[in-house]
Amino acid sequence: MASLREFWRRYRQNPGAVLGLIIVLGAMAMALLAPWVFPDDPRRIAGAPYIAPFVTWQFPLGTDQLGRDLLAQLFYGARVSLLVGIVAALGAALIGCTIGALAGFYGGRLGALLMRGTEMFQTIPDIMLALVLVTILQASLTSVIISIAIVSWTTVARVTRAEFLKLRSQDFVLACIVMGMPSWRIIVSQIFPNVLPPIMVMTSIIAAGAILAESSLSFLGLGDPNSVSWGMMTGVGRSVFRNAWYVSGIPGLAILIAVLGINLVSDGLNDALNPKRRER
Amino acid sequence: MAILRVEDLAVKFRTSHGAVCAVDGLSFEIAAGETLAVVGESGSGKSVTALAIMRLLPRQTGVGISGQIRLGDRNLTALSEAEMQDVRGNQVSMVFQEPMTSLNPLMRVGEQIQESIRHHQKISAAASRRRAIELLDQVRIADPHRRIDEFPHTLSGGMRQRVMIAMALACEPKLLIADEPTTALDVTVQAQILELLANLRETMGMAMLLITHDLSIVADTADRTLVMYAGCMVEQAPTGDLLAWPSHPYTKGLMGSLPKARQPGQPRQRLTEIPGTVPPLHALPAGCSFAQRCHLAAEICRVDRPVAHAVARERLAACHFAKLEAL
Repeated sequence: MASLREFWRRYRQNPGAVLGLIIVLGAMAMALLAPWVFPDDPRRIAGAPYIAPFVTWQFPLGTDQLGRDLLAQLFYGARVSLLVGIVAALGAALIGCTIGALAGFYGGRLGALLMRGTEMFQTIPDIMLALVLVTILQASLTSVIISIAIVSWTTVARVTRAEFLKLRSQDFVLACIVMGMPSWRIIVSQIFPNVLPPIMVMTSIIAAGAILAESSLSFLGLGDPNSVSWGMMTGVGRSVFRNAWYVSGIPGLAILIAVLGINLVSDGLNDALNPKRRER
Repeated sequence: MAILRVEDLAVKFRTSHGAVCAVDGLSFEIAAGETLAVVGESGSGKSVTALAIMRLLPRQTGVGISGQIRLGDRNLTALSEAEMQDVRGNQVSMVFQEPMTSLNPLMRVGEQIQESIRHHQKISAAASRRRAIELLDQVRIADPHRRIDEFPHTLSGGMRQRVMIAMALACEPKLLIADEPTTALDVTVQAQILELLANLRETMGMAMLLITHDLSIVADTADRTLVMYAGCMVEQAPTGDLLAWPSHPYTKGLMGSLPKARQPGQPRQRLTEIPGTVPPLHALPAGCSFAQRCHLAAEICRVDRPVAHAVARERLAACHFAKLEAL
């Protein structure tokens, strides 16, 4: 508990990070509260089309070209965007950690093989691969999450491998081998906790990227057709952008703020978790 | 009854200069409760010997190990990796040179000790905690109840080395390998740690293989001493005899280069050094590897590699000129 309080004390010192946390918590609140605040289907036609924002209390952010409530869609879109961001980032971290840990700990031929594989993924443009994967897997929330995880684990793998290489030759690891501990336990219980801080930072950056990637896919019409997401909203508003900018502008702004918030949080995490910066 | 018997151990590394023999034809025994010191300068093969016993040398590329390492009645060189994991920590433990990096910085010292206990013994968390406190007490850490929950960075180097020793002793091994256990410590702490090791060895009746380059440590702690030079054993003898009457010219040279306390009124004496340097392991001469630096060297030394032979009771030396004394 003491270390958690210490962590919060350091985190708090960075005002940007606190702002980021407020943004992220706000987005999470939107996502969680959506069904209570807007019990009706957000894709339902609720009123007249093209109502501008801040005109009527009934639709604070206005309606789109079909007369759907933009605020309601924004709330429900937060669910999809955050879900994709978090789950895809965790998936990417899981793949990346596994591959990086194996490559860094065992090295040799296995390590070379795994890292060449990683480089292969790095050379393919992310968005292209994600597009192809979503097309093959059929557009659904799951396939979007899987494709984004598959294109974004490479940096985690490289960072994990580098940290494992560094820690593997440390005496305390040798001491564990001498103690008769099997390799998998050394990897999981001894080295991994030491690698966690950079991975947490990396994962939060990936979460921001995943929200952007999901938005791009939905904008291009490859998102889950059955759920509202911010990217899909920008895509829908695209055709009417010249007369009603707010239809795609408002969800675009939401994406921008959410991604900014997550990036600020990861910055704050980096500062608070990095022991080398503690003395500042 | 010998706990550890090493027979004709050879470790070869394949390098860009060709095969290099880091350890060549090494044989020795350690009896239960006995301390054997292995002395030699850097690169003489002492640590490689320890790593070979623990089977910590990389198994794959370019490492060739031959000979036998018998622990009790088991040949360690023939065990599978899983069987070896049971031997490590349980029957043979090791203490390293660098106490500052030998503990996991993220785990409380108690957890680390408990881990080594629970890894080999099926006992409850509470029982292992009691045992860890007992061990900390045994290695004379003051206030073990409080120290057990501290992180390594709050401990001094000497205390960390004590924790390392506690971890190594957790399962009461038959043999403890101490690889320069005091090199990184202050001289006063050195003496405390050595005394601790000696006492623990006595009370637990375990054997110890002490690797060091410091002859002054050997005098106080080791029953027998083995001197290594360029991967080979040059001399092996009970420590007192070795220090009093070294029979190999290399050992004599080492003794000669130790500074001695000067009595008042005595003239200053210049320290003698051994001329030259250790030949590189990939270009060892055909005969005795010490021949180039030896003041006794004759024709036979450059052609014929001397074999270790008995020169006195319980004494072996690998030199053509080491005389047979009263056997």
